[in-house]
Amino acid sequence: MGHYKLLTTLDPITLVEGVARVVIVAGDDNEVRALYQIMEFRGFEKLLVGRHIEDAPRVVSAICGFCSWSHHLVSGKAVDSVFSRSPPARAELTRRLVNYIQILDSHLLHFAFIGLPDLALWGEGERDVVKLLAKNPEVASSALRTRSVLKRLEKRLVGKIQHGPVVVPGGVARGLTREDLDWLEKALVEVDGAFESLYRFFHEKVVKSEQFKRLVESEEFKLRCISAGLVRDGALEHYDGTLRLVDPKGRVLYEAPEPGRYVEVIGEALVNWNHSTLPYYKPAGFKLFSEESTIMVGPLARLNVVEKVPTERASWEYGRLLEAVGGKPLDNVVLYHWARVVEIIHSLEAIAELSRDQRLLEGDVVSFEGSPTNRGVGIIEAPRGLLIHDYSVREDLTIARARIITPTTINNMAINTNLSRVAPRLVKEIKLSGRPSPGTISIMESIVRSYDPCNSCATHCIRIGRDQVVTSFSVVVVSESGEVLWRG
Amino acid sequence: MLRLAVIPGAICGGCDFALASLGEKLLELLKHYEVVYWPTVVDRKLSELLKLDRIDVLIHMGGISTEEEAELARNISNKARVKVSFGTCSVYGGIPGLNSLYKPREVYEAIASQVEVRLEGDSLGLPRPINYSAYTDIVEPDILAPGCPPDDVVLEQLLELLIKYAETRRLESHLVLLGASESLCNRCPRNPKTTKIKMPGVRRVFEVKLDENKCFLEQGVLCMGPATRAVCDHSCIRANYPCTGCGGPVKLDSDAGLSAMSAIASVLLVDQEKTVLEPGLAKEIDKIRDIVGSFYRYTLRKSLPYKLRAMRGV
Repeated sequence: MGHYKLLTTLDPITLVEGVARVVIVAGDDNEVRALYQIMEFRGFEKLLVGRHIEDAPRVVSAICGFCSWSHHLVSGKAVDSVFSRSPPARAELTRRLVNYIQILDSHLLHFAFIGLPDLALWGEGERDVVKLLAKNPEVASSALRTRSVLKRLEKRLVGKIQHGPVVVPGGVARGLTREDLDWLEKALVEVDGAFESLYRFFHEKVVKSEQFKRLVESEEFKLRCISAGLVRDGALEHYDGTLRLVDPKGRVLYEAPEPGRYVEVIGEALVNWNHSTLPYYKPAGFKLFSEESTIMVGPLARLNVVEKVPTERASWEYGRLLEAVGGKPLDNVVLYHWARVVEIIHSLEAIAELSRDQRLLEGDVVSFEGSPTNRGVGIIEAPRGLLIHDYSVREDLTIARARIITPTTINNMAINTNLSRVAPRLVKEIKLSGRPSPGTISIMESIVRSYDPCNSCATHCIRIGRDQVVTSFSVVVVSESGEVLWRG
Repeated sequence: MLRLAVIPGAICGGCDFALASLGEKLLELLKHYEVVYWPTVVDRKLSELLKLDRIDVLIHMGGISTEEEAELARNISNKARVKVSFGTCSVYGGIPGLNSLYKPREVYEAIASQVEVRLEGDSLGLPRPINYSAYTDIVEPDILAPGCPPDDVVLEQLLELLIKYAETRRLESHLVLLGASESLCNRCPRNPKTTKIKMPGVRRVFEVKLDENKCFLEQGVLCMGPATRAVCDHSCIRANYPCTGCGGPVKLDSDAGLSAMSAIASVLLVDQEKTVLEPGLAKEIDKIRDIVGSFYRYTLRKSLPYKLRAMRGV
């Protein structure tokens, strides 16, 4: 495999973070397929080598501006593991809190600025927040309000909204104060209030719409693959749990509490047409476009791997979702949006619970107990799914090797498999009428947006292409004989 | 309405996020500007942007890592009346600029050597990586907005300039570096201005419990504050973490790393020089195992060491 003829490109995909496009190709078997290409190039695996290991959490935070705290925290966990340190309760809870705020913020941003416009403005040309603002000012202003409240809160707690410092080896840089928690409490009330109107809009204008029902039933949005996520006592967990993989029928395939064992089930493949690797389910071997080799991560996968959601309101919403679609497995990717809603509610509840925990205010913020080792692995649930940082260090405690597997990288295979369902239709339309229909392009964009891919995250790793240089973003349709059929 | 385009290079999204988080202030800007392109926020295709013959304000985010990014940055910059280099990657190369020391092939090997499966095949038009550079290496901008990402201090200055430009259609000067023309250290809430700073040795962050009130240098911890432009309100320092230098040098043409090293050299064991002598100083300096990552984390692409290396054709 690996020899494809380029038929057309659809680029760039807007309303995703980072730069990406879809290319439609015909393979050796003449099957028409779609490939999601991530086109940036940065290479954190290389630039980490030689850095002081304790600097890693600050450096890797720059992998992604949208989930910088997730990279920062998981790197902190890997660094703890290098030093064999266990953070004291105060530090551990602070990190948990920060992780929930990250998930809440990222999900709200995607839900309000990308998910809602995508679903509520279906069939209306441009589907973005600017248009949503014009059509539903109250919804858009709630979205903007949550942003400004969370921005103020994050600045208060961490100093910076992106790339701020929280962790140090074995703890946190600063313990939270009573005033911080008072801020937090007030912010929560405001965010809760603003989210309420987004939630109502989602259920009334999206979930109840015929269009949403059609999407939920559509085969093109379905993916029956392996789901991976962290669990704690079988329940939804985002900061520190056991890695669990379940098959499309919900049966547990793998469970391991030690983060370093991820290599038993997750492998990575490198192809020439992507700047991101393609992680796959190792026991099945690497098979592109095959659901048995594909792992899905993120809010939807997390709900697939858990038995329960541990907070009250979120658990109720989870039940509502399951009831609406006839139970698990959750195998339609448009439901990622709904799963995100469950997690927004869960994060709000978890943050409220943490804000009342007295241990956040008492005791040491860092532990120095433990001796350095030569490897440390951290796993966390970032907003978009499983995030793994794996470092090896030299004797002088500088980094010798770094391996980073991000959620968007993992979902790469899933996105490709999903998009390939739509690709034949797209090509057929071009052959018939000279151009793809807006509906088909909308579906492809919606599939991609459902995953909330973060291409910045995915391009911590890189790929050198061949000598071919693309200098234009236009959509070009090329026949199998190489003739240009349509350009637009 | 004037036309505003936001063009990403190799980005992490933090700059997008910072600009989008302006909320109501952003709406104020949008009273004067139509956003003709901003792929993270607005659903408009690049093909539409390329058809436009004039852009009023271009905001470029991120560094340049592929031919495609370079081509786009040049193309749109040629049509733009005001060019803004936004964020430290765009201005100085930023953290990805740490890879400036390597060829793309070497960067590739760091990942390729770790994967389980490598497949050959067509690259399907995937942009070709080139030696990484800052936007300012290929285009001379009118406004430079440093920060990783730019902080409120800088964002507000930028908004003010852009609104003023919309009203007057002219910029008062060229190559405007935002932020305050002094070092972060000058305004530091911890800076013991009344006494001379004494750095008691070099301590790596994993060795010390960071004091929330004391100057980091006085705790033996490297802090880039003395050599970093005041582009923030000491956000990291307030969060009890030393400055890592994301604001870049105090002046555009100075070398942030050299300035920081010089500042550290002038305070390290300053009260014990006569007893520890050179070997004692060297012993402390040797504890810094990563000179590049400590002093040039955000500005390596613009540093003297990089330029010398480039001159030698390495």
